[in-house]
Amino acid sequence: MDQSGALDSLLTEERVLRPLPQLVIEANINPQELEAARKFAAMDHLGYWEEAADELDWFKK
Amino acid sequence: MLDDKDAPFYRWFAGARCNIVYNALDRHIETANKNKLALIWEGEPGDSRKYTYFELYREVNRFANALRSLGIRKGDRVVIYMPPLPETVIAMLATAKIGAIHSLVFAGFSAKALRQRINDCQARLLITSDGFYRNGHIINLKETADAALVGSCADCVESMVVVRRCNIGVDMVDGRDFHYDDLIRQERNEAPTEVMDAADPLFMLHTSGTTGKPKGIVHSHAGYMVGVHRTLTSVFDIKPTDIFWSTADPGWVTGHSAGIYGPLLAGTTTVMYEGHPNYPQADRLWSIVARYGVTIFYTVPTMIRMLMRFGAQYPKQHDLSSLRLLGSVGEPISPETWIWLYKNIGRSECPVLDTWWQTETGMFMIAPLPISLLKPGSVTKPLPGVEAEVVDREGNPMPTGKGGLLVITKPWPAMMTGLWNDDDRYREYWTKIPGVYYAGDVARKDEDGYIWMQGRADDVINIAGHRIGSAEVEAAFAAHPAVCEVAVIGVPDRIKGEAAKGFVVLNDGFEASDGMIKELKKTVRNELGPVAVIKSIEFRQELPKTRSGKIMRRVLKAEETGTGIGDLTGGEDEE
Repeated sequence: MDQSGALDSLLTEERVLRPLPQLVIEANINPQELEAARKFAAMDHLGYWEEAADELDWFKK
Repeated sequence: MLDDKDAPFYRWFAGARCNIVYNALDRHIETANKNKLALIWEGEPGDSRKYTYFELYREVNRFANALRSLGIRKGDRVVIYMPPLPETVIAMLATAKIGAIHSLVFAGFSAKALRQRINDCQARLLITSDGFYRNGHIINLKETADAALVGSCADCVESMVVVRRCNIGVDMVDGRDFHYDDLIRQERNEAPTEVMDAADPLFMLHTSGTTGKPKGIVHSHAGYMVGVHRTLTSVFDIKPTDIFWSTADPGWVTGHSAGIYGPLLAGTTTVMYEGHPNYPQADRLWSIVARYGVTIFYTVPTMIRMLMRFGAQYPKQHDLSSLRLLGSVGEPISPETWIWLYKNIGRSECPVLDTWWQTETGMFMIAPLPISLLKPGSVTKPLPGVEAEVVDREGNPMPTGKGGLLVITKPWPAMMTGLWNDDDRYREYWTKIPGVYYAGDVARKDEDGYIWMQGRADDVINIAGHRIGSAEVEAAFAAHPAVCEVAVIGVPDRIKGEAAKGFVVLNDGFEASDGMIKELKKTVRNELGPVAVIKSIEFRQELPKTRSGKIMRRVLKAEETGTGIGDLTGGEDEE
């Protein structure tokens, strides 16, 4: 038996659904912005969350 | 920003001061949100109440003043044993506003479970209702609350507040019990919002692992607020016109984050329903969606499976065109269930956003956005600011396509700040695999980096050296149209060590027979290949579930192996 605890993956699900064009246009965050946010957060984990905190009100920061 | 001196007791926004209620209510009163609906509530008999942000703000202030009049102070614990009522929301927010700590206890819990939770947090105040409506009946809640306070275990409780919901006669203990409406009658509409340190506790929720007594998971004002706000607004793409409905009871973390705090922080309108989803018939949820124009509908796979059982004719009777996003939480959703929801409720237009998170994580962790490419059955990728990995027992990343343990490798703002009075047990989350958060779930990552949940680590089945996640085998069963619900467990096998056994609830119109067993075995084989041999199948009328609707495989396992099932008051409330 595999000592690492690995699991077999047996389920294959091939379906992929793309968002409708209208939905992408209307979304608050578009795919490029999402990728940029991922990159920023990966580079600067705390900076990403600090920015998120700035969207709220604080008595003292 | 992040104080990690005392890791794994991380402290986010150390030194900052805030109050989540200031952000969920107070600040909206200064904006265009003031006269917007904050809460739409519907009772089971069909009565309805609506609160604007301004109305909710004033009601919360009045009750906050009442709590202060009762002597409740910052840091005190308040247990809220309530069905989904507007006063449940008001009680939570008023408690948090004055800096006290709320602990919700699901109204379906027994007096014993309630007493255990009261005792654990040494609550000074218990808030409850006279009763509530469920499936056409009035359930007397006050009696159960009274029963919980009998004996010395709950001596800590000094007062009880009783909300009149059903106007049934209840015994009030003189000097201890007060009616909610009597308390707020004379109170002022303004109340100061307590200034809290970032890490001050906001609430605790009791949940269980697989063994032992329930643990009180503690969340703080600042980190929870930031994490929930950012992830809820981005995953559900919240817009000013949305009507957001999370069907979860306020007694679960989903009810906290997605039902109350998240939507109010975002300034959107949240919907709450008191009663049974099939009362008076199986279209109640769709009727609510249609009447209020719900735009985002967030629920659990169990609910979807149940509604699937009644077929597409019920949703068809209602205008569901207001819906634009659907969401799922709580358990892995099988691809077939996902597709049913997408087609029959979402008109093949509304993305199904499958979110992975836990009571412990507080906020959404792994989830798509509406613009993401979706694969039915996958929770897609970790959200920005969340670092998740699939690893082996030593913490090494698994190769693509191989299942392993899901861990979170960096702290995140809405993480629990600890377990109530149990630092050792909290440390266990971070020491099973040193330095990372152990989620207790198994998952795999595909070639696109998409994550597929395979079930709980405790439910992994080992067949002749192959380790398989219960969720995968269950998804394979669910591909057969006869299957309403299914649970798969490993049972001892003389040759293979362990073999898989399926417990199946059939849809109406299908018969439990040897032929059906053969057919189901064949379906699983077609879906998963020859490894996942199903040794036996048992048909059931229903499956054992937690109060929040999750299947309890360990109960089936205990029945199978003849061992004890452990402390079920712990297992009842997993979310």
